[in-house]
Amino acid sequence: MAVTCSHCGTVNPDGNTICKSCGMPLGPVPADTAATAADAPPPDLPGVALPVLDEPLAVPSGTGSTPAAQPNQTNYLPPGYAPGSSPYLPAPASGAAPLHRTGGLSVIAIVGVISLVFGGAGAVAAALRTGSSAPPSGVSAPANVPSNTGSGSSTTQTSTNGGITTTPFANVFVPPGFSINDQGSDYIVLTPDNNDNGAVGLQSEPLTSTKTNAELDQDLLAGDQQNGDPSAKICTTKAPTHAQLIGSGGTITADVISICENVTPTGGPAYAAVDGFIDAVAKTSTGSLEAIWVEIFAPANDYQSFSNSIPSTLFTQTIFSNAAPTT
Amino acid sequence: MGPTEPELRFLPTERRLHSPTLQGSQHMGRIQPVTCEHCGKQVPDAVFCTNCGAHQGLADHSIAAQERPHHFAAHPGEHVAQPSIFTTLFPHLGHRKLQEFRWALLLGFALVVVLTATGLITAAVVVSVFLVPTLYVVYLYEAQVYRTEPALVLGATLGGGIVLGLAVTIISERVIGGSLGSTGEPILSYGVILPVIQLIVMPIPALLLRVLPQFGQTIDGLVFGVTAGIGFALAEGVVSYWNILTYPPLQPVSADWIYPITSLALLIPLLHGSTAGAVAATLWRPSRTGSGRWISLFGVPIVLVAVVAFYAGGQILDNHGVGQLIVLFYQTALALLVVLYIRQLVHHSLIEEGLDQAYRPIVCPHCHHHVMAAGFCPSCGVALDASPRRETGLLPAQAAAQTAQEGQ
Ligand SMILES: [Zn+2]
Ligand SMILES: [Zn+2]
Ligand SMILES: [Zn+2]
Ligand SMILES: [Zn+2]
Repeated sequence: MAVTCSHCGTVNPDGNTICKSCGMPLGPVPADTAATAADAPPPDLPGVALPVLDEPLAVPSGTGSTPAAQPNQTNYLPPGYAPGSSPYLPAPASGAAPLHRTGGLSVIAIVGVISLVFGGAGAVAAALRTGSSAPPSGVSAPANVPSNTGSGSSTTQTSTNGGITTTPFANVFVPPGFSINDQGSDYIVLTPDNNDNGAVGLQSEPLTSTKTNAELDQDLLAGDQQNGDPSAKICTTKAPTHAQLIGSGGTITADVISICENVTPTGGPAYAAVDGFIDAVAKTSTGSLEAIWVEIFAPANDYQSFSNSIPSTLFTQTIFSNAAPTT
Repeated sequence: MGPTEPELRFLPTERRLHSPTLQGSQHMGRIQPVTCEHCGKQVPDAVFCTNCGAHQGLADHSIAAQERPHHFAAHPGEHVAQPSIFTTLFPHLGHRKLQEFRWALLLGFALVVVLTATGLITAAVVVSVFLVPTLYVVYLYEAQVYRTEPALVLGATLGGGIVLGLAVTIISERVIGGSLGSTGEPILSYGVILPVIQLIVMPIPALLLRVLPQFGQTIDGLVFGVTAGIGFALAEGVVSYWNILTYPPLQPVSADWIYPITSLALLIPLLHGSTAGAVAATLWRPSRTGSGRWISLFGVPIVLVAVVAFYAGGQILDNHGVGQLIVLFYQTALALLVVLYIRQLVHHSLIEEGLDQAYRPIVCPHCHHHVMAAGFCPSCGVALDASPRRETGLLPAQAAAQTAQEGQ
């Protein structure tokens, strides 16, 4: 006959001693031997641990009715459980089912092996990606910036090899032939050692409202207009092109725009200039938004050759800290 | 509970099985079955009432004895209000098994730190994403919380969490990140709306299992909810770091990575697991009565406040230039708040649901004593519902059981 579990109501087939659903015992079970209790009592209950009794006790004989819950009965002791006995049963014989499914150090081993496999796969994948030197599709040096400085137009070869400088907002690769002209907590300005006409700036700025890259373009344009030249405008009527900036949380798609303006230096004649931006809205690790950009500034007649002289290493090796793509 | 807990005042010696002066067979013939002062049932004389779990050594009828706040039902060596993550989110593990899981997580995270420090960011991200989910699947196997339905339970909880995590993360990044001309504040979208949506969505796959009769206990809801939340965290991590996985950074600076990776490996799985687990456990048995009812009513509000404070508060701190380490501590404290809530809920649920269970001989998975027990181990007081769901430790008695069945 089928047995209905008194605990959860599941109907169990003949021969089951344990409910197939909830694991509760279905019938009376005698106190013969089974699981091993080889482990010592835990150290976290001082004074509570008991020695295991060395003599058999009167425990269920297996001939009575089911010892299931009988909440209405005051005497709640199990059948055959004689008054005067303790709940402690003799130590089970060895050779029975182990207490745990995962033995000994196997938990650590399983997690360790899986971690090493995943970690190794990740390392190999990264090595393969880095090894194939071609940039991934969609990632390209910004417009106006050559992929290599080896071409003849370059005028920036100096003895310096370039290197990373750490700022609070980015780890900036200062290319060979450039040096740091100015630096603040959220910006840095690099100028070529042999050319005082142009400058490259990198900056980050927290955003207080959600913005798209296009809206950021407008903000940067408005900023140039407020800085003395209301006629400042996007140089071409073409839609902005795109490039990639690198954040610590991944590559971030940026707009590339050029703003044409007139600059009036204090005590000097006004001149036409171009302010180029590679700008993007990025998401920080906490989910807030920030604007990040690289700015290339030069007199209009010098802009093309200056932007050509900026090594692509500036863009491929500069990493904006705590910045990740928004999509 | 807490500071008002009275000092332990023990009854006369013959009532105390754990007396250091009464050893082994000296018990024989001297002790009597006792009537539990709290549930009124005659039960074997021991430290804890095996029927209702009350602490029998105490001489009074105080809450300290009946609700035993100093003996967390899933891990009696700890106070209920102890902010211990492992004994809360891995409630079926005995003290010894627990140590193995702790070491496994510690060593896994050490590997993550080493990979990060050596610049192997892609490898560190991959290990981070899979570390906690792997550990939790091993736990489900060890405790056999899924009874006889591993595929169904794992598919619904872990699988469901992953699918929902992919969907919510991809869609939300499209909607929020690409919202043209949107005037919404990022704090509102990333700090409030998205976390609330996540909180609503994450426990759904776990709650579907509530219809099955064998998973009727609150602790089942907790563990299934935690699994779904961890699956969700896994998917969110993969989507968020997809760029890193496909285009490794060229010259990573390890210092930039340690906080995001700590968050990815530990903090987000902790937050999603505990919040989804808390919501699932709260909704698991809505008709609960008594103090458990009040506790479950507070579940959703507490978790909502915690996640909004976690994300929006973290963002505000970040915007004001507060250091990343401080933000990490702040967010960890909020996750611990959810853990503390879970402990109250699970403790009261285990005490209530452990009442009036059948007797059987068992090797207690927590204290390893071989005892005759109903709902609670009479020796250490652990709720046996918070022990591995399988035959191990129970005495196999095929012949006797068959005899009994034939006789019926
Ligand atoms: Zn059952
Ligand atoms: Zn009782
Ligand atoms: Zn106690
Ligand atoms: Zn025990």
